[in-house]
Amino acid sequence: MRLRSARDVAVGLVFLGFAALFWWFGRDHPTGTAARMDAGYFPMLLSALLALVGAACVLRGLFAGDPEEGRIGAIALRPVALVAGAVLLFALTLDLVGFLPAMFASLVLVGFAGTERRPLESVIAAAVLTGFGWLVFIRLLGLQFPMTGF
Amino acid sequence: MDLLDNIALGFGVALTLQNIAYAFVGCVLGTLIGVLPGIGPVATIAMLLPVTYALPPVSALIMLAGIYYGAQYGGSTTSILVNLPGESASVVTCIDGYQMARNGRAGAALAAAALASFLAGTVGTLLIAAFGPLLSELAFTFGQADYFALMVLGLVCAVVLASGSLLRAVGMILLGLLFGLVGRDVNTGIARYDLGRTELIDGIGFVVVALGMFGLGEIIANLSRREEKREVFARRVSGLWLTREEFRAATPAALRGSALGSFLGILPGGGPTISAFSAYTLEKRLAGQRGTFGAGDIRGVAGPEAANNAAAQTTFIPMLTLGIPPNATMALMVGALTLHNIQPGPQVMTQNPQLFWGLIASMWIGNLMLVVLNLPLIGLWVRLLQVPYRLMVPAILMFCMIGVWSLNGSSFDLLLMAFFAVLGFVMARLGCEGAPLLLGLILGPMMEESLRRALLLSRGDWSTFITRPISATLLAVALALLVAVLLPTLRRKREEAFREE
Repeated sequence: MRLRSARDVAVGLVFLGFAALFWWFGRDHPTGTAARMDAGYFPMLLSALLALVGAACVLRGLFAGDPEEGRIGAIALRPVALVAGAVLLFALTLDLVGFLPAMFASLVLVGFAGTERRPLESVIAAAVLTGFGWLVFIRLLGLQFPMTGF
Repeated sequence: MDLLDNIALGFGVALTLQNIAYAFVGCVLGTLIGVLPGIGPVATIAMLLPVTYALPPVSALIMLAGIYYGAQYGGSTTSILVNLPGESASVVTCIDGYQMARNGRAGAALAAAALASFLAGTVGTLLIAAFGPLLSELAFTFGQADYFALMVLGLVCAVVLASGSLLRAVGMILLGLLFGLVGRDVNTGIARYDLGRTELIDGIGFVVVALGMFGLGEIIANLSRREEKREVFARRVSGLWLTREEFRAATPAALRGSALGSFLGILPGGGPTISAFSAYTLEKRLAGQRGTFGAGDIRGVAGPEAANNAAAQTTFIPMLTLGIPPNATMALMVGALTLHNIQPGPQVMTQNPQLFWGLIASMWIGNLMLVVLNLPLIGLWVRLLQVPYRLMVPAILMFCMIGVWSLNGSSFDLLLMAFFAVLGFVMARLGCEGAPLLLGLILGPMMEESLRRALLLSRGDWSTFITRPISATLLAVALALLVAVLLPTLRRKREEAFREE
């Protein structure tokens, strides 16, 4: 069977997934009553509503929906992986090696995220920016960052 | 007179050297990001929030506000000269502004945009000064049920005015509300959805989400497209003045744009972008056959530019008086106030009059600065456009990472930002905007609190929402809006309106 709108189905599944997650992790919180709401009441209400909306999205994607708008198209994995990867790299190495190397490595990595890649330019830009960030945020504004590793 | 006293108080605050300097920094930064496509006010304000933590609240807010309305100015410059909107609110300015530049009237278009924006900024500032106190007095009569209804109305408006599918926008709001509930529940002390991580007990910071979805999510989206060559059309702009005919056509258009923008800005869910589109449509309708829209009609520049600037000012009204953010940028402003331990709401005006009036006065000063800043410096802004996007990527990434880390000094926040970057990108690819989620994130705890209190007072009786007149009216309006949008005829109109984008 052909989907009318792949987007609607995908969005609906994402919503259903999150509704299930919020329901699962909130299942132990007492709900209480409307007059005396406990910690679980509002989250359960919202999870249920989100599940409803998600189901409606899936149904629309299957039977109604705009096929033209509904195409998802190819997703370039490289920018997603490298931008998220650069953040992870910085987060995981900051405490180990300190601000300067961690920031530099992360900015070099993100230089490879686009379609146009110039390694030398990326390295220079990363070095200049790291220096700029250190000067402005750490020296001038006094933000606290680990500067050396352990 | 009361109003004059208040305005005098405001100027007293805004005209201190320090606050002028912060307004200036805000305006320059705003113009800069307005000129540069690929980075918007939401991400910039989120990046700078942690830095403003050390400033006094008034100065912080003055600077952040400057970024917001400064971006509306900057966006128009690139629309006119390069046919490239730096900001979504400037998309319509491209249509006639760029044509005027091609006809050799770039200077006139830029002047019309700047002057119309200034006029609108003045109108907007006066409106806040006039209606702010009235609205906050009204807000004092609001009960908990009324607040809940008001937030529902705000979210419904946000859904109706969002482009694209209603259903998806509702889902994004619900998802945002749920993310907003992560962390310790204030009433019971139970830590919700902390997944065993102590970092999550304080909740998910809206800065983390905003930078992830709007800062990094945008980078990912832009990198997925091919880098387009930016042709700078007019390197040198001469003749910054309007002819008499142009002046005569532009003035009423700017006034109409200011009025429309001010109105749409106050509405929950409204804001600069929708105002600019509406103003363009209005001007086109009014001109009828006599207009030269699409071929360089000055009314197509003055109207929308006035509207987006007026709306940028009046969106502060619901935030400052009711404490309820009407859009994502204002949600960040609420966050900025909370960072400084100021609870947004009607009491801001009475408890922190310097803050309220100082901010308003600074907006007018900022608007004046922007005119001065923009007209002579156009050449500089245009040259900035030659910075290739691939060099902006590491810069934006660095600002985002430093901004998030400096919030709590926690690597966990960085990981969370990466998660929201991926989520934001994926949802955008699936046709879901990020703004409703951010709005929900801020409103989640507020809505839970007012729902809880309202039902506690009514002993669990849900009919309290329809027996209280204010709440009933607000909910009726929300329902009417939803029904109206779902009706087939209006639905087609709405789709048409968004197709023009």
